[in-house]
Amino acid sequence: MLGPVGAERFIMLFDLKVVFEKIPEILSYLPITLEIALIATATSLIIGFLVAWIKIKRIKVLKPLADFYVSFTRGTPIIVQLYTTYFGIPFFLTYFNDRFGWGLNVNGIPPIVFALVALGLNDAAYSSESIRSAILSVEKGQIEAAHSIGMTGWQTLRRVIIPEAAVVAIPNLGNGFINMLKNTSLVFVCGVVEMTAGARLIAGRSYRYFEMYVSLAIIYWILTLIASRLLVRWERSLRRNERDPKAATKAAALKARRPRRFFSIDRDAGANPDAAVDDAVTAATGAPVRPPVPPPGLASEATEPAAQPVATAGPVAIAEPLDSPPLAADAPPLADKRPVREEVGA
Amino acid sequence: MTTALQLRDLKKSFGSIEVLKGIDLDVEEGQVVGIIGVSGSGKSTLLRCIDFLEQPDGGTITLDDRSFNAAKATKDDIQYMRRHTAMVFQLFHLFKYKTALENVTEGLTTVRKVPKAEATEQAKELLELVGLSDRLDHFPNQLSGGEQQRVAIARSLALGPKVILLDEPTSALDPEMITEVLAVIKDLAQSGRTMVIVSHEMNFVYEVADKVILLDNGQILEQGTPGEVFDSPKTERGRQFVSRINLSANAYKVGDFQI
Repeated sequence: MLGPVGAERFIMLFDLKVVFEKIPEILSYLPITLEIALIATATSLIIGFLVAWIKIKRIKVLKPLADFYVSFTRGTPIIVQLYTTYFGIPFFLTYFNDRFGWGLNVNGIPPIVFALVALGLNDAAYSSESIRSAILSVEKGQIEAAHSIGMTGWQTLRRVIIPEAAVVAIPNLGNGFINMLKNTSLVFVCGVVEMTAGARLIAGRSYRYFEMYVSLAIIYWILTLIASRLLVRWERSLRRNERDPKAATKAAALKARRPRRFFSIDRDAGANPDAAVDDAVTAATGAPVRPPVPPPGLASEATEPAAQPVATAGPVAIAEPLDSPPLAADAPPLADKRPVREEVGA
Repeated sequence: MTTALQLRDLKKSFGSIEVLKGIDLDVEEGQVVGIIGVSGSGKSTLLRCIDFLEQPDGGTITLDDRSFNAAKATKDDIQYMRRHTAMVFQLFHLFKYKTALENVTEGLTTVRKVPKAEATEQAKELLELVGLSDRLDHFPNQLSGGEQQRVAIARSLALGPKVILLDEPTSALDPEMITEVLAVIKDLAQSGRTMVIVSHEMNFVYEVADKVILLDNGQILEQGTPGEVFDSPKTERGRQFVSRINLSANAYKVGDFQI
C-alpha cells in the first residue's frame, strides 16, 4: 500500500504551494469573520459594562441574575451556547407567535444574528469581570476630586472612571477579543459561512483539507498577531502619562507627517480578498442557509435532542458535508475520510 | 463683612461613632479660617461634609443666600455646594491621565461648558499664579509633590469658588516642598480669598488665619483670633493642646520662597 516515501510522496500528501495559493481565496471570507468579531465584541462590552455596574452597585433583583448569568455562561462550553442560541431563539419566537399572536418571521432570522448573540453573550460574561475589577481599581480620590469640582455622576463616569478603568481593562479585554477572533471559527454551527466554513468549502472542491486547515491556521495566527499589536499600541496611547512631556509635542509633529506604517500593512491585507472573491462559492453559501435535512456526521448528532421545537432547523447550513476534524464529535467520521487522500494520490 | 459660609449644628456619625457633635461655624467673606486639633477630632470630616464628600446627618448649611437642611440635601443642593466650594486634598488627587493644564481646564470645560480655548487661557493664568508655567504638559506622575499640590490649588481656583477648602494640604509633603505650597496659599489669603484650612502647620495657621478653631472630639473647644487661641486658651484641654506645640521650633520660613 505504502508507495515510495520521498519528496514526491510528501507533495502528494501535502502540497505547501496549495497552502499559500488558496490564502487569498480564504481571505475573501475575512470580512465576515471580522464583522462577527467586532460586532460581538461591541455587544459584549455594552452588556459587560451593564453587568459590571449591576454587580458594583449591588442593584436589587438584578444582582443575583447577573451572578447567575456570569456563572452559567462561564460554566458551559461555547459550542453548546451556540446550539442553544440557534435553537432557542426560534423556539421562543415561535412560542411568542403562538401565545401572543405576534407575526414574527421565525425562519427569516439571518444566521449571523445567532452567532452575534451567542458570541456576544458568551464574551460579556468574561468582559464583565474585567470591567468590574477595572472600575474598582480606580482610586476613590480620583472620584472625589471629580465630585469636588462639581462633576455630576455621569460626567465623573465619562471623564474620569471610564478613561482610567480602560487602561486597566484593555489587556484583559484584548485577550477576550483575540479569543473572540478564534471563536468565530465555531459559528458555522449556526449556519454562518465565515473563514473556517469558507475554507471547508474550498477544501471540499479540491479535497485538499489538510492544506486548507494549515492555511487557516496561518491566517488566524497572523490575525491575532495584528490584533495583539494594535491592542498594545492602544493601551500605550492611553497610558499617556508615561510619555516624556518634552517629547510629546515633537512626537505629535512627527506623527502628523509620517504615514502610519502599521496601518498600511493592514490595508494591503484587506485589499486582497476583494480581488479573489469566488462567485461560485458565494452562490453556494448564500443558498441553503438551513437545510431541512441535516447532513450526516456532526449535524445529525447535534440535531437529535433539539430537533423537536423547531422542525425546520438544522444546525448546519453549509451545503457541503461536514467532514473536517475540529470537533471531538467528529472523530469517527474523520477515520472514514482518510481514503480521500488515497484518491488524491491515485 | 458678609457671611460667606455658615454652619449650624452640623452633625455626622460613622456607625455608632459620633464624629461631629453639632458644629456652628461662620466664615466671613475674605476670611481665612484655620481648623486645628488632634487626629480624629473631626477636622477633615467637617471639611468633607461641607463639600458633601460625606453626607452630614443633621444641621443647616448656608452658602451665600442659599440655605438648606444638610441631612436632607437634594441633588441640586449638593451640586450647588460642590460648584461653589473647592477642595484641595491631602494627597492632591490630580486626574492621573491628564496633564497639569488639563487638570485645571477639566472643571471649566466639563462642568462650566467654557469653550476650550478660553478655558486653556484661564488655566494658563492660574498655573502661572502658582508658579508652574513651565509644567503645563507634565502629567501628575512627572511632578513633585509640591508641584502636584500647586496644580491642585490651581484646579480648585478654576471654577471661581466662594470658599476654598484645604484638607491638610501639606501633610503629605517633604519639608522643602511644604514651603512652596504654603507660599501659594499665603498669596491667596492675601489676595482676599475665602478659605477654610485644616492644617498641622501651627506657625502657618498662626500667621495666615484670621480665625482659628480648635476642634476636640467633634466639638469646637476654642475659637477666636490666632492670638486668643494659641496664646490664651480658655479651657484646660485647650491649654494642654497648645502647650504641646512649640510655635517657633518648626517654623518654616514662608517669606523666603519666591514664586
